[in-house]
Formats: sequence, C-alpha cells, structure tokens
Amino acid sequence: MVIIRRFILYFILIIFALFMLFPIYSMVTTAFKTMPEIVGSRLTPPTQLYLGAFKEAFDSIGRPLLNSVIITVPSALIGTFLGSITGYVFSKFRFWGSDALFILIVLGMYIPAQAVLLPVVKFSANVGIFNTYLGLILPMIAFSIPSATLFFRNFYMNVPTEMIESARVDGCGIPGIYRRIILPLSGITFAVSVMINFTWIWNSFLWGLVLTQGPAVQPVMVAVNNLHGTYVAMWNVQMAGSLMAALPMVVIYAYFGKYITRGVLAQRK
Amino acid sequence: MSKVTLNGLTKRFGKVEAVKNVTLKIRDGEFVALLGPSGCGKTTILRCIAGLEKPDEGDIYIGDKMVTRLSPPDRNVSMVFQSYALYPHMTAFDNIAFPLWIRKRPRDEIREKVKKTAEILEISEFLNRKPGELSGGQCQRVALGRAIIRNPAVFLLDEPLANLDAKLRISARGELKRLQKQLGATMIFVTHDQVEAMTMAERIAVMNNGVIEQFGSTDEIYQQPANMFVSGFIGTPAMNLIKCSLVERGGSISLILDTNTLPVPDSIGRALIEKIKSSDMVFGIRPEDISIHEKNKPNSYKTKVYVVEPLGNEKLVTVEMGNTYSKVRTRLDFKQEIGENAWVDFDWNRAYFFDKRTGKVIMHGLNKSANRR
Amino acid sequence: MDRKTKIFIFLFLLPAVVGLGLYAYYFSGWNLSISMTNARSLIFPAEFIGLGNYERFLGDSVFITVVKNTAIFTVLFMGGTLLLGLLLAILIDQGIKGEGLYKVIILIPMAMPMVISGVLWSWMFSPRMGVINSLLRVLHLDFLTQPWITSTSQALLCVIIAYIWVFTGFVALLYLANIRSLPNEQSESARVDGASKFQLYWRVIIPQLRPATVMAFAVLFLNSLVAFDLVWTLTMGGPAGSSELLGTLMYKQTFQWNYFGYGAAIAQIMFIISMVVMVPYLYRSIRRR
Ligand SMILES: Nc1ncnc2c1ncn2[C@@H]1O[C@H](COP(=O)(O)OP(=O)(O)OP(=O)(O)O)[C@@H](O)[C@H]1O
Ligand SMILES: [Mg+2]
Repeated sequence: MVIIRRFILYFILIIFALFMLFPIYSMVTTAFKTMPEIVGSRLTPPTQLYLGAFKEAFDSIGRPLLNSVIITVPSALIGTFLGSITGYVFSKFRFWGSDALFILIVLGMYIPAQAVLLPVVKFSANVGIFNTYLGLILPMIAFSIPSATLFFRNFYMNVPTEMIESARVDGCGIPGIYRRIILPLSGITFAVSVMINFTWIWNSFLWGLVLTQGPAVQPVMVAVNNLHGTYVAMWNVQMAGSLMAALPMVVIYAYFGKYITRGVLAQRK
Repeated sequence: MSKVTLNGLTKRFGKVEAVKNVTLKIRDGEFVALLGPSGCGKTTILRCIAGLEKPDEGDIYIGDKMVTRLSPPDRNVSMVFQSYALYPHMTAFDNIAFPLWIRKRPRDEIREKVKKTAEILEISEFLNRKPGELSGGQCQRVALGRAIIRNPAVFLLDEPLANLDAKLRISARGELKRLQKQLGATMIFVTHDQVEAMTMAERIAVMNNGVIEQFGSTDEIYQQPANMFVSGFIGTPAMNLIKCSLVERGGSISLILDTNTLPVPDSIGRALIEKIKSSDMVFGIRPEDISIHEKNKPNSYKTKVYVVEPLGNEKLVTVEMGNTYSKVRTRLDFKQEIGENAWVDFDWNRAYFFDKRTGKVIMHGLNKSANRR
Repeated sequence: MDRKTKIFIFLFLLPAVVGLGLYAYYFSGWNLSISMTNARSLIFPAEFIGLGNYERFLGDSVFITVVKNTAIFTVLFMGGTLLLGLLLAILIDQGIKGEGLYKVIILIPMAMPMVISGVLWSWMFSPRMGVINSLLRVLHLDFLTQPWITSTSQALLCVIIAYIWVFTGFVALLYLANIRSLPNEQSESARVDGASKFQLYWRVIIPQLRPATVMAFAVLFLNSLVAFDLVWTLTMGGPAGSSELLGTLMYKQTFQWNYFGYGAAIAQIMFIISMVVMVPYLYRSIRRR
C-alpha cells in the first residue's frame, strides 16, 4: 500500500518535471541540429553538435547581447543601491508623512509599464535620450527602486535599533552608520536584490521595444523577438538565439536560486 | 569626567508622560543607579542624557555645558545597551576600536588603546572573535570596552548585567564597581534589581511612574526611606507595610490592626501623636526587625504561622495577624509549622510610620524626628 | 531629529523621490492627459476630447473580445496555476528524494525570460513542424493533433497553458514555504487524533494557506493584467484578435497604428484596475508588519 502510494507520488512528480523541462530540452536539442535534421525528427537528441545555428543567431543578437549587459548591469546596481538607502531611511526614521511617502514609493511597483510608456517615449525624444542607453537605464533604475526599497526596508527592520543608536552615541553620522553598519550587514541581501533587478531588467521586453530603434542600442529580448519574426521556419536559429539570451538567467538561478526564491517570495515584478 | 545635572526634565510619548519634571544632580566621578520597576522611565532618562531622545521640557548639563540641544556624537558620552548592540560583522577588536576609528585616530594609537582596554577587561584572548563566537559575559565586556576606550565624560549603562546568567551577574557586579573606581568615571546605570543597585552604586535614584521618589546614598535609601514606595521596593524581602490606626486609651498608646490591638512603647507613641493629623496610618517594619518565638513572652503578640520558607542559613516565616500577613526573618531552628501559633515582637526603634494618604514617612524609630521632607 | 540628520534623510530619499516622481507619477499623470485627447502624433498638438476615447473603447467591437479574452485568461490561468501549484506543493511536502534539485527544476520556467518562453511555446504549438503535434504523431495519436496557435478557438488556450507553465513552480514554492512554516505539532496532533492524510491537508493545512494564496493571487493577477511579452511572441494577440488582451491591444493601438490618445486610454484603464486591486493588498501587507 505504502509502496503503491509512493509510486503514484513519484509518477505524478515526474510528469510535472517533464512538463517543466520538456520545452527546455526541446530548445537545447533543437539549437544544435541542422534544419534537415529537425525536419527528420523534432524529438530525438541531435546526432552531432552543429554550431551553425548559433553562429547565425549570434550575427543578429551579438550586439544586442552586449547592449543588454551595458543596460542591465548599471541599472541593477544603482537601483539596488538607491533601494537600499531608501529602505534604510524608512526602516529607521519616522517623520511627518513618512508612511505615505513609503507607500507612494512602493506603489510604483504596481504601475503597469503600459501606463507610462507613451509619456516616457515623448519625454525621451524631447530631451534627446530616445534610442540611447541612458534612455533605457533611467526608467529601469526608477522602476527597480520600489521593490528594492520594500525588500531592504523589511530586512533593515530586523537590524536592532540599539545597534544604530550605539553607533550614533559612538560618534557616527547617518551616512557613516549606513556605510559602516548597515551596508556591511546587507551582504547577501544586497546580492539578492542585485540579482532580482538584473533578472527583471534583462528579461524586460516592452521597454526596449518602444525606446530603441535598430540594433545599436536594442536589448537582446527585442532582438530575440525579431529573430523569431525573421527566421520564421529556422527553428534551430531561433532556439540558439533564445538559449544564448536565456543563459545569464540560468547561471544566476543556478547560483542564487535559493536566495532569489526566498526574496522573490516576498515580491515579484 | 564630569558631573551631570538634569533640570526639570520632562519627556512625553504621545499621551504617556514617561519622565515627569525630574531634577537630579550627579557628582563628578560618582556611581549612580537609576532604580525602579519596569516602565518607570529609567531608560528614557538615560536616552535623554545620551541625546537619543529630545526632552519636551527641562535641560541637561554635562559638566557645566548645556547639552540639551546637542546630537549624540557631540555630547561625549558612552552608552552600553542592554542588548550590548555589538556589531555582528566586526571582530571584538574592531568593535572596541569603532569609536576611535570613526574619529579617524591614527592606527598605532588605536591598536595601543584597544590593547590596554582589553587588558583592563581581561579579554585580550578574544579580540579576534566576532560577537557570535563570544559568550554573554565576554560580549558584555566587549561592550564595556567600546564604552571606556573613548574616555568619555559620562558612562551610561542600561541594565548592563541583565543579560548575564545569575552566577556571572554576581561576579560582574564586583568587577563593574572595581572598574568604575579604577577609571574614576561618572557612571549612571539603570537597573530594576534593588540588590544590584545597593551593592554597586554610591547613590541610588529610586524611580516610580516617571518621578524620582528618593535620591540618596544606599544607607539613606535603606534606613531612611522617604515614602512607602521606596521602603516597599528596597530590601529582600521588602518591608512589611501594615494598615493600622493609632489610638490612645487610658494613657497607653496602641496600634489597631483590624480587630487586634498592639501596644506601642510610650516614647514612640508620644512622638507619633505629635506629628499626625489623622489616626489612620501605615506601619512599616522590616522582616529582620521582627523577632518570633515559639512560646508566649511578655509584650509579644500572638499570631498564626501561615507559611515557612527555609532559605538555607535562615528561615522566612509568614505570619497571620488578623487579616494581615507579615514576613519575618528568623533562625533556622525555629520549629513551629504551618497552622501553629507563634508570638512576635517588634524592634520599635526600627519601626516606620507612613501617612496613609500621601505615602510619605511620618517618622521612624531610629530618628524620632526623621521627617526628611 | 537634528538638522544634520534631516539633511541626510532628505538626500537619501531624493533619488527615489525624483526618479519615481518623474517616471511613475508625473508620467502616469501625463498619460491620463494624453488619454483625453485625440493625439495621433508625437509632435502635432492634439484636441481635448474628454472621455471620448474611453467611450469609443467601450463601444468598440474589440472591447467585447478583449473583456471576454481577459476574463477567460485570468480565470483559467490563475485558477489552473493556483490549483496545480498547491497540488505540487503538497506532493513535494510528502518528503521526496532530491527535493532541492526538484525545486530548482520547477523554478526554471520562471527564470526564463517571458519573450523566450513565448518563442519556446510557439515552437511547441507550431501546427506543422511543432513539437507537440510531432509527439502526438510519433505516439500514433494523429487524430489528437491540433491547429493550436493558428486556430481562433485555441490560440488563447495556448497562451494560458504557457502562462501556467511559467508560474506553477513558483506558486508551488510559495505554498510549500507556507506549509513548512506551520508548526509541526499540528500535523502530529492531527495524526494522533487519527486523521488521514487527506483529512490532514483538507481540514488542517489548506485552511491555513491564506497568506501564500493572497501573495500568489497578487503576483498572478498583476502578471495577467499587464501580460504582453509572452503573448506578443506567441500569438501577437491573433489570429483575428482571438487572443487579444489589454496589453497587446494597447501596444497595437499606440505604437503600430499611432492612435496615441486611444492607446493611452487603454493603458489608463490598466492603471486603474491595477491600483484598485493592488492598493488594498499593499496596504494590508505593510500594515501587518
Ligand atoms: N519610543 C517610545 N514610544 C512610546 N512610548 C514609549 C517609548 N519609549 C518608552 N515609552 C514609554 O515610556 C515609559 C517609560 O519607558 P522606559 O523604557 O523608560 O522604562 P524603563 O524604566 O526603562 O523600563 P524597563 O525596566 O522595562 O526597561 C513606558 O511607559 C513606555 O511604555
Ligand atoms: Mg529600560
């Protein structure tokens, strides 16, 4: 009886795992196949490691990959830093309107991108940052702040206030306390927040779609979408491009998955 | 080192008046305890002195300088928090060095001073460990080290021994007292443990409900409590406080407790009568100032044993007289058991009489005119 | 607080306030004003037409389609994901070998960028070459092969399946964390009382999973409201508007057909829905701390 139960349990779990993994398996195998091979069979693994599709995909998304790095890294770092100082203030200081201001900042998380997209395009065009890295980095930073602020505030709430007061009596000012006490204590939290921001910025599509034109600044998700549109029947090229664009995420989740889920459990963009 | 003066200090949290019009003059180099029950405002006073709270009224002087409006870093005080508030990411060395480090003192000087401080506190072996790897007692000493390294004008300690286990706490009392003498420092510490206050401090400020009930030397607080609150708070077990009224009948003076009559020696009775306005009062006597006998003796008073608690070298007996219960400290060879009779008499020279309404002391036997206020 | 402290608090808050003030609040206000004009270009001035765009949207034939699609999508996607996620969490909670690895596996879809999930599922659902139909043919189940994303009756379903694929593992981990946070004594005491596994979950555990459900609901709702990336790469809202949602419609109206005012009005409706649902949620979750 117990054995049958266990068998059913594992059987269902394996079905779920197959459901989750099958599209990934298909992406990886298809990327290494030639088109004739794909026409022959979509399900079997490749018979050789054909890299032609990667080369072809890279011609289209190589530059956008670099663009994405240039956009994502500073946005994620600066967004996290700003979230951290904002969260620090809201966790340890109360002043007139602090609750309302905190809610307004965190609420930014729930403003659909669509609701500001058109004004952002107009504004960027007006001030001459349309189709530039800066034009994408600025909104990415701004929209990283709400969730990072909430994340850090919740973390800093657990830092004993006595510790901060002690530093105060010992002669530290507000920035000194941040730099010498708060920041060194934030290690993992800081890393997790950077990764969470990195993830959503890297994965974001709509912003790049409306704020860039042509491959010079275009982020990689837009390029993958274009690949999808241009190499319509060339599934191996599409899959190779997708694989390359998804790789940073896979790496991040492999290393930080545990922490990220913990953090993501708190909020998700 | 400096004297500390609080002048009409008041602090409110919304509707709660945590500290009410407190005036306190602490001398240079003095070791003072703020003693009182939980929530009476001890921590609040300490935090006001440190500059962590802004008083609503009144002024604070450190030395001759008014510091009421200065921010904590500018007051030259050190504070040891109840939780110690050590920085978990720094070693003991860095924790102790922190106040010098942020003042950008030269590295050699810092190393030298930390070394010396660690020697005084006997924690030289632990300097490379982080707080997580230290015991409670070691953490406490690191926190002290962080406070003394700066040589501040005043030390503020909030329940510095509360987080130690019972045995360590007793040895730490002595060490802290010795350290204070060695440094000659002005130290103000908060505690709700009267034994701790009595054993360590030179003077004690007994607080209740945001006001200072009495400020005096340990002897004064014990021998000449200003009111019922102080007398009930000091001593283990505390003074027996018995509601009674004073009557003069046929030339002899007695206390009436419920339906029982207790004759009072003439000299004391006469002095009392001169001072009272109403005959209702509270009679106070410490457990050690009552003697208890197994047999009736002249001038003693019959009671019933309610409970007996042996304490190793002595016994604590609770006796029932009418509806009131009193604790009595006695020898180990006292034999009566629960429910049996016992006879008590009082050392009238050590009796206290309080005004029932105001709680203030009317007089006590030791000094028949001891109406301090 | 002393002056220095006030100055630093001001400085520390300045970037967040300026950044969000501009990008979140000023621009959404601007969007509201665009939504009340008949703007068709970034340069030429437009006329104020009040609620004209909103009226037009409500009377538009596409409105019915979008409402219908959104309703189907939201209900099936959220319901399916919550149920499957809960089931998966309970199964994992039974104590399985390799739990750590299994958790990583079920979270992979969430790690995938939505655009790439869209590309992947369009490969899965491609009617002729596609993987699913190939699989069915290999299994000699030819009669089960479907037109999938090329069919007006199935395209939305394909989007829903892809979305369920993305979020199920995440929701399962949410539920699992909630289950694990319940005190062990509860299930032990229930066992002592003679409750079966089913009764244990049904009567004791599931009623206590409100926190995870509320959180999952918030995440899934927000994602279904603003859904765009995956839908765009998978079906582009087609064929013939059969998988059109607010996000795709807004994009087409605004950036493909240059009906700026009309697109802004649709975006504004998304904004309002989001606020109406999320503000109470946010208020609750902050108050609780
Ligand atoms: N930050 C605050 N906000 C509101 N009320 C406060 C605050 N700090 C203290 N109080 C109130 O002020 C009163 C005095 O508090 P305080 O902390 O000074 O007491 P304490 O004597 O140190 O007590 P304990 O022995 O429990 O530490 C209490 O009634 C407390 O509830
Ligand atoms: Mg206290």
